[in-house]
Amino acid sequence: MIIIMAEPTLASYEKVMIADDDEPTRILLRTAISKWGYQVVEANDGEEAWRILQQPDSPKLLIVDWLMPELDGLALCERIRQKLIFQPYIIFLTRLSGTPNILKGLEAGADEFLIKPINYSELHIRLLAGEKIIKYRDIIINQNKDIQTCLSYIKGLEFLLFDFLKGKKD
Amino acid sequence: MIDLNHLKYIFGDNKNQIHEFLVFFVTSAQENIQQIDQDIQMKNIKSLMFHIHKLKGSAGNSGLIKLANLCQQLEESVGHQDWITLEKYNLEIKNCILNLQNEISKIFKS
Repeated sequence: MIIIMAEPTLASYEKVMIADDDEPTRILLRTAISKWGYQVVEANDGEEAWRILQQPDSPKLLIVDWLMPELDGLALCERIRQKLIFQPYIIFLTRLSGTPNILKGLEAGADEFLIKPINYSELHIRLLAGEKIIKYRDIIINQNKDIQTCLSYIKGLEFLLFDFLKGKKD
Repeated sequence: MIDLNHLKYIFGDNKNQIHEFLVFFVTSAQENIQQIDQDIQMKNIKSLMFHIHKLKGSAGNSGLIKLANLCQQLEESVGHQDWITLEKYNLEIKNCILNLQNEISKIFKS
């Protein structure tokens, strides 16, 4: 089956969570991301972000700073990958650069690693890519559910047929 | 000192929004500076690094490159535990924020 998906448009209304303890940075990100058509949810530290992620209809796209009080970005990322069933798309956005840090971030479970100061064009492209991945993932999850339902119907029919044939034989 | 083009890219031509943002940035930077002063007094390296890093990131993201560079130099002097150079850069950062305040007043006085 070929699945044709529409390109994400400007008005996608997908939720994006910004987890960053620096309020000026959150204001800049919020302003830019809202203009791109996303709904913005903000968290001041990792623990707050974690609480938001456990609520129903939580954001599927995350922008996470590394150095934050309470729970830092790296620990948040690891917790998400270990404990959440529905996995958000995680973009690390940090001043910590260099290959060892990038590897650490990706190993903790980040999907993307961007270095501050923020390059808004790049961030926008990465969000669009994340949105596409999440949409494809949701399609796969839904199709998988449909397949499971079909399989249980087939099994039911199999039992009925078996009983029917057994009755005829007897 | 202020890269208005950077801020216009985010806020558009809305002068009021840019002004509000810059005033908010200065308030937030001053709070950070207070924390940095406390950390220097207590010689709390971990907390000091955290607050300098935060101010550096905040300045860099806001297009205030001179301030971000000074924070970088301050961060390096903490790494070397060079308390004399550290005091020098801390003072330069405070002056930089004062200059920033003056520049904001000049640009947005009308």
